[in-house]
Amino acid sequence: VKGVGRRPVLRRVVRLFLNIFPEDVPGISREDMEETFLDGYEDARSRTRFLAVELAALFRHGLGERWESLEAPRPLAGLTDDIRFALKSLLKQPLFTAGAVLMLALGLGVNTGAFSMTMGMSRIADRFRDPEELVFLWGVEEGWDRAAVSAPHYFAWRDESTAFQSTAAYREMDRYISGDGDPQRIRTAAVTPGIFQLLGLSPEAGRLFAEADAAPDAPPVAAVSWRLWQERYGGEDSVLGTTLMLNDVAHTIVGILPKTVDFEMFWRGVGVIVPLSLSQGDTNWSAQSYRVVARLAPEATVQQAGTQIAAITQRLAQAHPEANGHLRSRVEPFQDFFFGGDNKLAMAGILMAVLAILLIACVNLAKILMAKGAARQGEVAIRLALGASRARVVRQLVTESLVLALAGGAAGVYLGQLGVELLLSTMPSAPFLLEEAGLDFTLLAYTFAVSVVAAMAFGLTPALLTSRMSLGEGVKETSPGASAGRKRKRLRDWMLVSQLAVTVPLVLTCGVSFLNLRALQSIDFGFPVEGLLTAQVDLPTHRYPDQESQSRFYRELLETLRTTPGITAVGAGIYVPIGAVGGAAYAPLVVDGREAADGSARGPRGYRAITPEYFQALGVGLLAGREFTYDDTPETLPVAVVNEAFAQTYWPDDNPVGRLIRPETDPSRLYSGYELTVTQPITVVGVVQDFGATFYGDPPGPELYLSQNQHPFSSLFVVLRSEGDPLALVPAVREGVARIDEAVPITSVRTGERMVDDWLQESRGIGAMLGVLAILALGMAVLGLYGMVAHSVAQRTFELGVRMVLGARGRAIQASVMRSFLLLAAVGVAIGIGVGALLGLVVRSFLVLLQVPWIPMVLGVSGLMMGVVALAAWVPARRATTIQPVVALKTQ
Amino acid sequence: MSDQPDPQDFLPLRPVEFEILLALAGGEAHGYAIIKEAETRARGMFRLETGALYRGLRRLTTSGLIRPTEKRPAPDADDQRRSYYAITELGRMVAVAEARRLRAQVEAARARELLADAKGGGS
Repeated sequence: VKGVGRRPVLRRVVRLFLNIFPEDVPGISREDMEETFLDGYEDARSRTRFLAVELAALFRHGLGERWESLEAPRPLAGLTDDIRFALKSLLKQPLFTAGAVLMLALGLGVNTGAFSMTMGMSRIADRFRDPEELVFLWGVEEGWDRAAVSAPHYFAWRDESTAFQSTAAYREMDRYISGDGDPQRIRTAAVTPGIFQLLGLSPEAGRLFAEADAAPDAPPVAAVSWRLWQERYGGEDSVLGTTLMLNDVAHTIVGILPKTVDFEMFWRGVGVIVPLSLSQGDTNWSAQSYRVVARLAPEATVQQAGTQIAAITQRLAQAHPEANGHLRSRVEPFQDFFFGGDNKLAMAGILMAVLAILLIACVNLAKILMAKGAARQGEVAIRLALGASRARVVRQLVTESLVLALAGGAAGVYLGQLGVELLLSTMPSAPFLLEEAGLDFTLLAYTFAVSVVAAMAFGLTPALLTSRMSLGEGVKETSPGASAGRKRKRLRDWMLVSQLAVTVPLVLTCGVSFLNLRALQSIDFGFPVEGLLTAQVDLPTHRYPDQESQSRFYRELLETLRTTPGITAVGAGIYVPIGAVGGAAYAPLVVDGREAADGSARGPRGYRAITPEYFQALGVGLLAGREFTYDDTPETLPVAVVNEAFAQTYWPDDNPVGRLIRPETDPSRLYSGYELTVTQPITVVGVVQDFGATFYGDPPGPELYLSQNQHPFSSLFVVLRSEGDPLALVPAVREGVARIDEAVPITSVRTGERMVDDWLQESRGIGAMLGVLAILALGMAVLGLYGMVAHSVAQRTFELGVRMVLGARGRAIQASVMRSFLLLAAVGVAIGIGVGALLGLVVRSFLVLLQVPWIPMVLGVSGLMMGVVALAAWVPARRATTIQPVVALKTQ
Repeated sequence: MSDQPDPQDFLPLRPVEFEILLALAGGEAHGYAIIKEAETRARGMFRLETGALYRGLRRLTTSGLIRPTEKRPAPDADDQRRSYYAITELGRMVAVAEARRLRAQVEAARARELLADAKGGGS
């Protein structure tokens, strides 16, 4: 029995197997194969055997065919034609092409930018030889997990552990260059000679240190950093062998450090390197000033090293409890030090943001391609009808997407690099990143991969949708009035929702962070920043060895300046409360009557030394008692001024003036290795108002000020308040210092406003980046949303016209169109706010911000998105319902 | 179409493809007819599975050695679902070239006395 009706079940099975085969070649049909199979089955002697053998063969050959259809070089044969055709068709629609390329370029640009920054940061450690073996050995103390250690610690770690091939130590200190040119205070590092070998560094020129250079009687030698070599010596090789006066000691310059490491770690800001001579017999446990680096032995792990070092440290603590009872230890790989925790988190956040932008870009691109695909259905249908295979048509469409993607990718790489350069130019502390963040193969591969994936995912879908339809459908769909296919509509709905779900949290997060950083610009320091000038003065300690000479210098300087016209008040201190410049001196103290309390409730752990008129020069008001005067001398009663917060913390109900603060006497509360600068009880003589500001907007904490006259420091910030432009006073300050001692350097002179700028510089860079991301995301989303909604409503002009003809009211139609889109938009916005809230929690946990009003922000962004969707639906709907129905129907 | 491909370029043919060409050299046929013909010729020593046939037809069609034909040799004998195939001019030349190649091999085998006691066992 032959015919179409025979053996329907078997026919189904066979058909299933035949589906494994790829497309039919014209002229060969699966139908013929079905019949052939059934013929064979009916004629077979053993039908079971026939089925087993034949179905297996169908399966095998089907897969084989499919494989060949992928592998055959033939599908690539027409590639150049495809590309030519793609270019032609893209150029025929320049607006579409420009839009698509721009969309991709923006999405990919922020991606390559962020990716190259991340790569750059993650690659810093790679500047050393085999960086995965390199570790830091840190001391760990309360509140400080990267503490320097003493020389005996270093020796014990080096000699008693087996986990390291080699270890080295270094210490940083400021020294003074003199002799040629202006006196200069400079950061220097003393290193054990083996450190270069350990890190795998070779000199740019000259030589680095040998063990002999560290011998106590060796002639003093120095190496200079690449930057100092460029800036001070003009990059001339002739500097080798010349003499450098370092703290008035002549050092011979023997080498120049390689440029590649002129950054970070101890090289950051370090200009001169000298050999460190450490004696094995050094038993000074309290001089905790050495940092230790090591290279792991071939088989050793970081954990093993950590365990060994911890055991050694513990043994030392038991053997010498008086010196280092608090000290614990920790081993940190270089990679973590240069690109660890916070960096990773911040970078992950940025990467997430840029990926979200890419997603928005891709969704927009997909919409453009779909709209274009819809417009080209006629063309596709005709090509299919003329005998082009579906694969051929899809391939053509995919080629177009790829050409677009590559153009977008190239433009994106360019934009990204431009962005990185702009961004890094706002971050002066990270110039090395520029080099690291450069173009390289990984970056290009990443961009290429992302653009191709984007083009495939978002170009192929519309292409498949376009080509999958039957000819009849294609002809139908060329008439724009027909409602889009169901699949297409569902896809569009999903795109609308997902775009909002991605955009809303992105805009919210970036926007909130941006506004928060903006808010810092107008932060209130509690005193007027305008009219303030600060100058950092460094007394070379070899010229001013004792407190008396230091005190005398500053008194003389301040008295000279006070008589200068234009200066209304002048003081000095170890600290300027703008961006926490300078610092505090360590001194564990006990507030009278608080002896029983624990920790910080017991008393402050440090103080800031200031001169008379410091508060006046800053513009901070005195609330009670008096300021310091020059009558407060080392011989008179030790005095203190506290701020309001201090008074509130320790004496909430009493008058602080006249109360006592004593030095801590409990040895368990003292850190080892610090010389105590407060040895007598101090009497509070005044209270000033709170001032200063932190990055996170925290209220000022308790502050204790002691008299510089009674607790002198060699390096102070001179603070001047001027009547007019503070910069006009700069020459007077320089002259004043030079008149007393020409060898005293002024390291930095800055106005109050400049200090605010400098403080906020990095955060401003980040803020600008977030702002750009937010605006970019918002702009792309608004355009994309509008385009998508308006396009799909406009396509329904015919349908809406029909409804008008059937007697529906224009307003009712408009409302119903808008309703359907607003519903989708509401879902998207709701998901977006949910995601945004989650992101906000994460952001808040590592950036204590969100001081900005975020509720209006959420409402604003949601409102804007809904508004755009509503407008995009309303405009074409109104057009469709207000034109003559006849015209609407003619759009068919 | 202007420059004729060299039949040698298609050699050697896969056994299935040669079988199909041999079958079609005798006249146009549909899928199952080709299988029957091949099986008959091979006297049960060779089986042509539907999948292999499909694949072979596809290859030969793509490379232009056979072509589907609209002609229905027996219009009322069968339904519309079947396709018929015919060998092309090129296909015939390739089949001849393949046959010659095989003959040369068989002669070589005979010269090595591989076929000494199997007279007429070759094609």
